[in-house]
Amino acid sequence: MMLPYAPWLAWLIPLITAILMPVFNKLGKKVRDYSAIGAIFLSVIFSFSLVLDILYGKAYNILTGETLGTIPYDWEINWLPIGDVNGDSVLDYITAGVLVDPLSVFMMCIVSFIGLLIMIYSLGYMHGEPDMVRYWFWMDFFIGSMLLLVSADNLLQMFYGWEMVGVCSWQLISFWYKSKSPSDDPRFPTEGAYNAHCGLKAFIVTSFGDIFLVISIAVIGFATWAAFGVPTFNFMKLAQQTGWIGELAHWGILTIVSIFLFTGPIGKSAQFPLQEWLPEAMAGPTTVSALIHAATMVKAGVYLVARILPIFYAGMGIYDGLATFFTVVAWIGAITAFIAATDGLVARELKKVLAFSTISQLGYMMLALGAAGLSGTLAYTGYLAGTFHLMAHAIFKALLFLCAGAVLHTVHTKYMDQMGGLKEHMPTTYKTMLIGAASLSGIPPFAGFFSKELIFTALWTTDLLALFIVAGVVAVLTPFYSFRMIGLTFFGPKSEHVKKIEEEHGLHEAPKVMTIPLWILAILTIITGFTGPLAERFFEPVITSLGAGHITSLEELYVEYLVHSFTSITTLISLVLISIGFFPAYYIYIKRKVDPKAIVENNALLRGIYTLLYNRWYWNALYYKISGVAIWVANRIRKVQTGVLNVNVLGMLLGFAAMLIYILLMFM
Amino acid sequence: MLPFEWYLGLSIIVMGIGIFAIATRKNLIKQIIGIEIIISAVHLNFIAMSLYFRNGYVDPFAQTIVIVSMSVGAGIIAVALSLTLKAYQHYKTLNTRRMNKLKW
Repeated sequence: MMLPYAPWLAWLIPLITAILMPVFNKLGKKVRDYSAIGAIFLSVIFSFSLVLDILYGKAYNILTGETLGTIPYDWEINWLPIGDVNGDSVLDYITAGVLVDPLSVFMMCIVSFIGLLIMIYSLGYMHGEPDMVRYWFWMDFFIGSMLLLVSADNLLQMFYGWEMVGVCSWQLISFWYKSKSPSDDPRFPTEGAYNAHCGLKAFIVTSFGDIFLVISIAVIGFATWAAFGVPTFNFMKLAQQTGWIGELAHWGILTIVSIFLFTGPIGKSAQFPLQEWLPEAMAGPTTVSALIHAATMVKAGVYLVARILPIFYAGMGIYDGLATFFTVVAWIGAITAFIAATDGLVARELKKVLAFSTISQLGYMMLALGAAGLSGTLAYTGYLAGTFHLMAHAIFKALLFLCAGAVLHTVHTKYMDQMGGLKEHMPTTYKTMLIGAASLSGIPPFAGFFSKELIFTALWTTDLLALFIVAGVVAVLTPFYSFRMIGLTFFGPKSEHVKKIEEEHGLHEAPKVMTIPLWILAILTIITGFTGPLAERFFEPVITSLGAGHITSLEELYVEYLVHSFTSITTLISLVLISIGFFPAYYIYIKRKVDPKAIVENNALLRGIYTLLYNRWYWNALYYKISGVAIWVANRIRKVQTGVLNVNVLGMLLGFAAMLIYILLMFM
Repeated sequence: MLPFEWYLGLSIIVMGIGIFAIATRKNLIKQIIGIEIIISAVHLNFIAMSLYFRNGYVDPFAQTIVIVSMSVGAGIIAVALSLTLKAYQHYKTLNTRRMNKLKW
């Protein structure tokens, strides 16, 4: 039931609107704001019009009544011509195109819908901000690039979206680069300098992963060239004929290329050891953080792994090297989930807790996807768990960030120990944030419970016990830091800072334009968990290739899903684990029975652990050590670049003379 | 008529003078003059080639290119000198070693 050209227009409209933003600005402020939001609204309509196509199994133009093809439908256009050696004729084309398949449409719906809610919320949050043209331009461009990324039908086109997303994140994180207020970080003179530094750090760290990604894409191009006679990057062709994997195995580089391909997602999705850019990315406006964490950017890495998983899964029986790939994915995910969760225990800033929880949950998704590849005929459980957790996480993390934005909007501080006692003053924010935190912790019946349950089941049924134990430890830590965050923000006595704000401005709830998106997301958080079988039905074409049987009746599936979610052994285990994490947090931070600071101060071991975790296992310091070496080398090499024309011309003359002498010697 | 090598030799000498000017002078105007000298050396080379590479007639294409290049060169020199004027007003000097800040 797609609207005409829906998969194209869904990402073209935001990109074009972004470019036209200065023109809209001339027409008036209202026009500018509503056209920016309207573009995303159109994207939502176009994206959701594709859902029924997936369910009916064929792409069908609703206006002309023309059937375009069966799902997965690959809408290709000729892009780069491949000529023969003389350049006389065109042999073939490298195609561009959009892919209408369950994963693409699923991601498009999440990205555009969450993006729309965040854009509406921005109206209130960014009210009265200068530079709104810049803001809307990059926000629209961000969402458009992400939609391009997830709808692309080949690796090359996807890489365009991948890099555009990176550029947008850099600009948006350092959005407030003009801020002149003093920074908390002694290395920077102003807050603006710190923001610019954080944006650049995000861009550089993710680009480091992208270098390896682009290498592996190029090598895959050579492999397909060798296998099929023409280079192709098309996902469908890569999946249908796995001869190119054979070429890679023949060259003996299969493992290294597959791991290079995963290095892109490591950078983009903030996995260990490139996770350190994401906490710093909190320097941007909260709406940007919400967009980066919930819908765009970090989900790109998970998307790429989910996209590549069925392809490698098909080749796994034949080539050994691919098992290594899945082991690496699973263990990187597990380590990331653990490290980020421990960092989250001691974070002081509200948004940093959320950032660490994002990294931790992304680790969960990678864990599930990696486990899928390792679990043989049960691969579909891990795949479903990973993608379903992606959706659940997108919704509740957007909710949590927007709540955090509302809190920051009111109290004007980012530190949780300067908050406290906000519960009575911000009831809507409190209630919705509680729902979000409960979902993050995995408390039934919220979305997070069901998706984590799927991950646990996937690990449990496939006997990956080591991974199961790591996931279990993270499940203890998650409710602790979630409710620590809630407790420090909303409960306990008011801090000096909050009292001062109350006297000066009064503590007020966020405006309607901000609370309505909160309620929409909160309701979605409650109902999403019950849509598991629908997601399974939606992904049927993919999961049947991963070992699942055809779905006979949705009702039976529903009964099985609900019974399983609430009564299986993994439910019991996860509930016990959640309680272990939840009750200490409840007594320490919500009831305030004991003073955690005093305990930590009096115990040398705890103090040591606290310092280690507060410094994020010193990974960040290690980054600066490495970049320090690079800066030292660059400072020496840059002496060559004088910028003086005289010296450059002399160098040119010397080079010319050397070339002349070389030619003369050749002829002698 | 003079042999072809004489023209080439003169062209190389003029080119050398121009490069010498760019390589050693710090004054912005002198550097621009150096660039102009190099361009005239190239023009001379073109004209010489147009005379000697075809037997019996002069290649009109090379001459056309030189005329176009000269008129474009006039435009370039106008822009370069106006930039020089602005740079002088801004930095109060014509020494290129001191004009090393892009930002005020």
